[in-house]
Amino acid sequence: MIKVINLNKSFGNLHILKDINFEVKPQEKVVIIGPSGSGKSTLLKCLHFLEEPDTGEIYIDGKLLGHKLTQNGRKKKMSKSEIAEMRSKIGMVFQSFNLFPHKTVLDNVTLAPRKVLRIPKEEANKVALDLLKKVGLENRAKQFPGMLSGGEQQRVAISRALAMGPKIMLFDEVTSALDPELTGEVLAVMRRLAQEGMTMVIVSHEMDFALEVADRMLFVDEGRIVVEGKPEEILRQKKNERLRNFLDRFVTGKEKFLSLVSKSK
Amino acid sequence: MLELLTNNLPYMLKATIATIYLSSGSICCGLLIATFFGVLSVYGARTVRVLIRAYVYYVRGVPELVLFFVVFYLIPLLGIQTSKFVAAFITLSVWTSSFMTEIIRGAILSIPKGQTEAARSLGFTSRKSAQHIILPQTVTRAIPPLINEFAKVIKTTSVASIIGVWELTYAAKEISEITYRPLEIYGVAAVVYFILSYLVFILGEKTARRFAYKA
Amino acid sequence: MVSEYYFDYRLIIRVLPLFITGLKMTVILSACGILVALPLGLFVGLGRVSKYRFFNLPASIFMQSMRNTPSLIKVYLVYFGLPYLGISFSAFICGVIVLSIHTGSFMAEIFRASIESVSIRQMEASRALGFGDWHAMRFIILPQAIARAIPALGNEIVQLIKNSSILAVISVEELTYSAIGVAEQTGATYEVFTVIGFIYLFVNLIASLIIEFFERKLRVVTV
Repeated sequence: MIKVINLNKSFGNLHILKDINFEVKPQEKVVIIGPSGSGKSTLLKCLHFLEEPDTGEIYIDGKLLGHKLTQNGRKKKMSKSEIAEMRSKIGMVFQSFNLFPHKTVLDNVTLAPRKVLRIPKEEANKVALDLLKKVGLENRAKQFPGMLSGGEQQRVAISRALAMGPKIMLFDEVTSALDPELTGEVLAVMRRLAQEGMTMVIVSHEMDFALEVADRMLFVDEGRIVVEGKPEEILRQKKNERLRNFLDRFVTGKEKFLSLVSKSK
Repeated sequence: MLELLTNNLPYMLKATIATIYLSSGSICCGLLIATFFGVLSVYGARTVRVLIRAYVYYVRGVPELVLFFVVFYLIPLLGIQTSKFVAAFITLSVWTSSFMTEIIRGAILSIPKGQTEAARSLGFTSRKSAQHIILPQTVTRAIPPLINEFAKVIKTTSVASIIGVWELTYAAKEISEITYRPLEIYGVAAVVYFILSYLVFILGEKTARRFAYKA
Repeated sequence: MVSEYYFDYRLIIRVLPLFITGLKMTVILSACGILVALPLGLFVGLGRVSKYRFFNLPASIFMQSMRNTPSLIKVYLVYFGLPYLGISFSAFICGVIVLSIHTGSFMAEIFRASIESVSIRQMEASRALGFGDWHAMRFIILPQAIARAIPALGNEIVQLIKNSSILAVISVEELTYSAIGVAEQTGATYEVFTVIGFIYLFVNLIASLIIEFFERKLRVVTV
């Protein structure tokens, strides 16, 4: 469903993404892990054409992202509205939720379907309330984002992305900005989404969740895909030193913390 | 002293009304211009953006008195005959619009980048995201500093008296030259300006509080 | 459509020297105004921050009255009004007085805001170290506050330079005054005032560069 070929992206002098090549099959769940600054977010944004790659091609559902082929077979840049249309087939959820503060929860979810897809208001509202019910927030529909907790806001953000009916969902460290107690509710929504068969590309630090949900994992470091494989292989890996160091930081930290907590009890 | 006041207060109050007309007209006009230029200064083509920045830099950088003279003498050259009052009105509108353009521009740019990202990721084009998501949020942020500008306009109308526009300062000068009581007369004028300016300040505080919780 | 739409360049070049005396006066006038406004602003700003009503109230009254009245009215009051109280200043001195109290009141607000933005954490920290309030202010808070205030103060300085043009009405022979004179004599009104505008822009540019220089020098002090 997603095909990335030779993707390169630089910001000024910083070469963030180097020769990225990977594929995502329909209904596959891919989890991307890696140290900060390794380019994971940039990769997701490129998939969404929020950032334009310097070289390389990204195919979504067979269509080339950002360019279309004319009759002569030459590449022509897509118009802004065409790009916007392609984007609406992919949903993205951000680390900082990015809900629209000046609109109610319901309006947040219905705004894009109404204005971009031109779906009439009643229909959009119905779909939105359905989605909000699935994440357990239908009774907050008339409230403003400022009155919701972080976990609730993120669940609304997921509903908002789903309201456009995307075939692929991208998640950019969606639980990193949340207090630990709140991550569970968001991960539950993502788990259910995975079970329902959504194609998902997830950037996350939640290793347990990755083990559960991922079909494949990618370890990205300094702009390259260093290791790729099934979750169990990746997490129990001994060979690649950088991956091991990276994982040690997580697993050790969490185990240490858990052991400390259980001791104090 | 009381006699002085009772004789001249009506005249000065009439002049105050002229000042209020001049101020409110310039504020409305300036606001319209500034909304247009402010949005363009962020979303417009490169040439447009550069021109607007040049315009803002010039108008904000020259003294108000010089600006009055420039507009006052420029208008006949363009073949238009108007009264001094209209010339002053144009000058003040242009003057305040430059500050207001910067305020609006700042407000637009202060919206977190995530909002634009979220909008684009949902499939909004640049135009639609500006229309539904960015600009509504800009209003809340721009209003407090804009109200500040209103007070500045009221005070700057006094400079128009120098090119002969009949408003409060001009009237005060007239009366003080006739009555030889500058302290009292200019003192009253100062108080009137203070009241006008302070009223705007209070309006600003109340509006700021009303809009504060939304952001 | 347009009648005299030409820009008499030769005329401008001929009269440029006449502007130089005016420019010199503007610079001197503004410099004096700035040199008085800054300490005045700091003094009043400190008063406004003080918890003693004895300092706070007069400072507040001063700031509110000066910020909400036009400078032109103040010019008339000082130049035409004060002589009736027996106090008579030259036009130049009137100019310096008005410019400094007008701009000083805005600077006071800037100082107040920057002091308050520093004090919250730093006052606690310095008290914990054993500083008395006044010492804390002098050595710890003020340096940081002043460094923080420089951009906003720079803005006020530019405003003061612009404001100096108003003094032409009381015949201070500064730049705008000389412009008016030249315009009256030559009739090239539009050209003269446009050029004067650019000269002011130039002066403001120089002032901004100087302020930026100070800002950079003191950047170490900000946290």
